[in-house]
This record gives sequence, C-alpha cells and structure tokens, in this order.
Amino acid sequence: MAQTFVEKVLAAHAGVDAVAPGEIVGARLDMVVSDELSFPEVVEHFRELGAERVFDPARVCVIADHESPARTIEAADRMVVTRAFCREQGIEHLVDVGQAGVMHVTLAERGLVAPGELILGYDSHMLTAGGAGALAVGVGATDAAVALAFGEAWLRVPETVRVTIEGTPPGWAGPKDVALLLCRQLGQDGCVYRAVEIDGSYPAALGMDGRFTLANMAIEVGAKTVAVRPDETTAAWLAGRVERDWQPVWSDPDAPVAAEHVVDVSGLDPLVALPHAPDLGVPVGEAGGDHVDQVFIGTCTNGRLDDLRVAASVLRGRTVHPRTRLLVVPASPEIFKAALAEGLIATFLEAGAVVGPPGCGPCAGLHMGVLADGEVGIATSSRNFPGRMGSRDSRLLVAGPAVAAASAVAGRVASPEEIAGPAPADGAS
Amino acid sequence: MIDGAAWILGDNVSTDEILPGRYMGLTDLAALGRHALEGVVPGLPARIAPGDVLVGGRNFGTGSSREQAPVALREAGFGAIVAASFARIFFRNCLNVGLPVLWSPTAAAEAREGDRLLIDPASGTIRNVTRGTEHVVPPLPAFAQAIVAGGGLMPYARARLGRTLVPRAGES
Repeated sequence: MAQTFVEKVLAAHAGVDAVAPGEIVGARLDMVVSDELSFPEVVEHFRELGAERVFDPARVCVIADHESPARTIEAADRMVVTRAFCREQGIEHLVDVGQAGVMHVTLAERGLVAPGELILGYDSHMLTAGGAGALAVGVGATDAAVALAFGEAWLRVPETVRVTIEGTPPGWAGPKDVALLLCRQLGQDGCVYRAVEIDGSYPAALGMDGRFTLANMAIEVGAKTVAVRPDETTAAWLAGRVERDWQPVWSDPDAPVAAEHVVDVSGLDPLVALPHAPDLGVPVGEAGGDHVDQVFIGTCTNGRLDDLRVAASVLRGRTVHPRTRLLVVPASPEIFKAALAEGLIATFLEAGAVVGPPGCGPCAGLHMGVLADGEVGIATSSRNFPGRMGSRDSRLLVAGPAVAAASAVAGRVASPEEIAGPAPADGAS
Repeated sequence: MIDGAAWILGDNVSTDEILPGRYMGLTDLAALGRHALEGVVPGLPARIAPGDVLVGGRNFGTGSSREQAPVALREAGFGAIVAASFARIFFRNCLNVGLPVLWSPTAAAEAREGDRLLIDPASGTIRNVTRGTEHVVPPLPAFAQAIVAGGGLMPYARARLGRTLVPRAGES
C-alpha cells in the first residue's frame, strides 16, 4: 500500500511493515537531543526514573546554545551538572562552548542527522532536521529523559499535509519570506498534529540553508514534523558529514494525505510578521515604517551562511542608524569561520553591528540583547509571541535577513530595495 | 473530580506567555507556580483557588517546548485545562506531568469567567454547573489513557524499565 514519508520512517523504526495515521507506535530513536539550559531537568527525570545508563552514549547529543557562555552563576552551575552527567555516561556528543552553535544547526553540521532517521529532541524547533530529510520531533523534558533510558518514544502516527511550492520569488524575497507566506496562508494552528512535506520546484532549487529555514518554520503552523524531499543537493551536503549509510525516503506519489496545498511564490515581496505572531505577515511596504530599537540577525531560522551573505549585501558600505542597535549572531562556529573568510564579519563590524558568539542569542529572551519595555525589535528568528525576546511590553517583528539589515540602516522597518537597490543578480539566495 | 472556577484566556496563548523564558531555570516548583501566566495576566496565581480551571481558546500552549509551562500551571494550583484545541508539544507535556487537559471546543466557547466547572478526567466529562450543561470529550488513545491513569509518564516508564516502552505485539 502507498505510504507517506512519515509512515515509512515510523514503520521502519517500530519494526513493522506499515503504520496508519492515528496509530500509536513505539519507535526506536536514532538520536536524542537537548540544549544545555534544559538538560539538568532531563537528568533529574532520568535519575527519578531509576535508570542507570543511557540507551546508547553515541546517540545522545547535548549542545550548549541557549545560555552559553554561562549567562549567570546558575547557568554555570547547570553546565557543571551537564558535563558531569555526560562524562559519567560516556556521551560522545556534548558540544560545549567553542564548538557549539544553535543546536539544530550544529546537529546537522556534525553529521548527526540523515534522511530517513528518527530524531527526538527537547526543543520545539527540533523539526528543522527535516530540511535534510530526517524525521525530527520536539518533546519536553520527561519524554527526553524516558528516551534517554529506553532509546524509544511513543509516537502517534500523524496525518500528512503536502505543500508544493512552485516558482522563484523576484528580488530580495528569500526562503524566510516563503515561510512567512506559508504561515499566513495556513495559520498558526493550520497543521497541528500533522506532518508537513515540502516539495516542488522552489525547494528543489534551494540550497540546504534555505531548506532548513523552510523546515524550521513548520513549527509555527503547529506541525509535529516536516520534511523537504531529499535529492542530490541533500546528498552533496551530507557527503563528508555523514559516513554511515543512509537511504532517501519519500512519500509514494499516490499515498493518501489529509490536505494538499500548492503555493506559487513567483510574485512574492519580502514579508514582515507584525506583533505578536508569525502568521501576521504583511508585505514590507505595509509594515508601517515604525522606529526600530534593535535588529537581530541569527538563530536556527536565519543564522546560516546564506542569510549572513544576504544581510552583508545590504549592509556593505552602509552604517547602522544611530538610534538602532544591530546584533549579528552566526548560528555556528563553522558559519562564523566561513563568514570571516568571506569578509562578511568585517562588513558587519564596519556597519556598526555587534557580532555575538554562536548560539541562540536573545531569541528566547534569555540573554545577550533582550528588549526593554516599549522597545521595538525586528528579528530573523521564527516567532514573536508577546514577551518572546524580553519585556512583555516590547514589540517584536519577524522578517528575513534582507529586511532586517535594511531596517538596521534605516532605523525603521524598511525594504531592502529602498536601502540597497535591486537584489544582486544571483538573488537573495 | 476537579471542582473549580473557570479562568478564561484567548486563542494562541504561547508558552512564552505561560512561563516567560527568564524563569526557565527555576528549580523551585513553588516559584515556577508564582510566575505562571505572567506574560498574559500578571499576578493571576495569587488570585486563584486550588482546583480552579484554566479555559483557553484555540491552539493553547503554542510555541516553545518548555515543560516548565505546564509544571508552572500545575504548581499554581490549576486542576485542569480545557481548551478549544491544544498545541501538540504542550498537550503531550501536560499528559506527562499529570495535568489533566480536555479538548472541548464547545465547553471552551461556552464558559465565562467564574463559571463553576466539575471535571472528571477519567470519563472526559466537563459539567458547567453555572450553566447547567455537560460536555463529553472524545477519549484519548488507549496508550495515552494509561499514562494519564498512572499520573504521568514517569510512573508508567518506571514500570517498563528493562522492557520496551510501548508493549510490542504478542507481549503478555
């Protein structure tokens, strides 16, 4: 019988021939992941459970991204607990300060995800690994602790929503703008409990950076998981990162799905999501031109090399508005080094940006650039719920790197075309 | 049986509002409870009575996977959450930490602040005593029911140590 991507992967990991939506399966996990802020909570549950050893120390990954380098003494103490547990259990992939980037970026860069693999992690953006064709699912601390002990999770087989994206946006619009368009069209709860599969000529033409951006934003429509169809671009990116065997997995063409959407992005303008939700996207020209106190370029959504290239192409030879602060946080050390080699970091510094250490930065309102009462921020992150990046009385807008960089120069929400003219011929990636 | 007053919130209440990020590191459960819903209605935990019921709209608990969000609501004293619909990770976290969640668009739409609600999570029944109505929620999958009946995922998983988490076909 014809099966979807998610049905095939879950059946393979449950050791059965086929599964159907609605069924609960016990699925073997290829990797269990946590950030460092939450990991001591996971350890506590693991102990409380009475478990002694993690199921496989090679299949556990803990990444110091949310509050590292330690933002407070309590954070430093948490990291002591994390390091001790990882030593005790022989966990190979504790990625500490100096090697760590945002967990979803670092995990993929280190070759810990591949098509058809099943990943469970304590973070809602876990599903970003779907950009590389893996099935990744976000959970909480208790599930993560149980996964560490059993190497297994109980999962309900989700219905699938097929999203086919066709066309090429003109000018400065990039993958983030396409993702914001999908959020607007599907709504914040448009795909709750469902698996989203992304296909079509647009994702096929994208590099991996853009595919990860599309996958990352699927949580903002409530998706349980997401996958972009794996192809030769995926294979080329994985070569040299993943040494184990992997097979591309994808839905049979006639597999029944719960819903199907075809989206044409060929006329898309850059979008800005207004406060306080990612599905409130409007074309940048309609965003109001408010003064912006802070611009943040980074995160698991838009802190990759393509994003930094786009931002630098807007900022080159320009300076940040005197009443605006620009924060740039490369998503990983690998990306930081590449950006340095290409001269992008120099461009940011010359424009008046501060460049932060790889990690989550202020995205979740934790440290290194939170917003004050009454301030307005624009960020390349994925979500702008009330209080997300600091004060409950701040206002946060979400956009792609081109709009964010243009707004930093203008000191207000501005279009990249207005600030930097037409997009470069090779596009906004 | 849970017996308490309804506190009404709207659609798409995020975990960033239920427990703002700055409190995520708190390990003192009572302190987590004091900050519950600080991003929506600051000071609410001081006004509720144990067993009161939080009533949300659509997509309740959207966003971050932080398990501290349902823990904070539980510690604040809420006996259950009724909503028109729930975000997936939040719903699952509630089951895991033993906070009853009831998925009922009709009960959520009808309830007004202060209505007295009588809830039996085992049968999925919500009685709105103030309005004289009753709503029955479709049952959870059997596996999820077993977790809830045991008071959360930890007791269930503890009893399964040394075996698979989910019983395999043919297991006696």
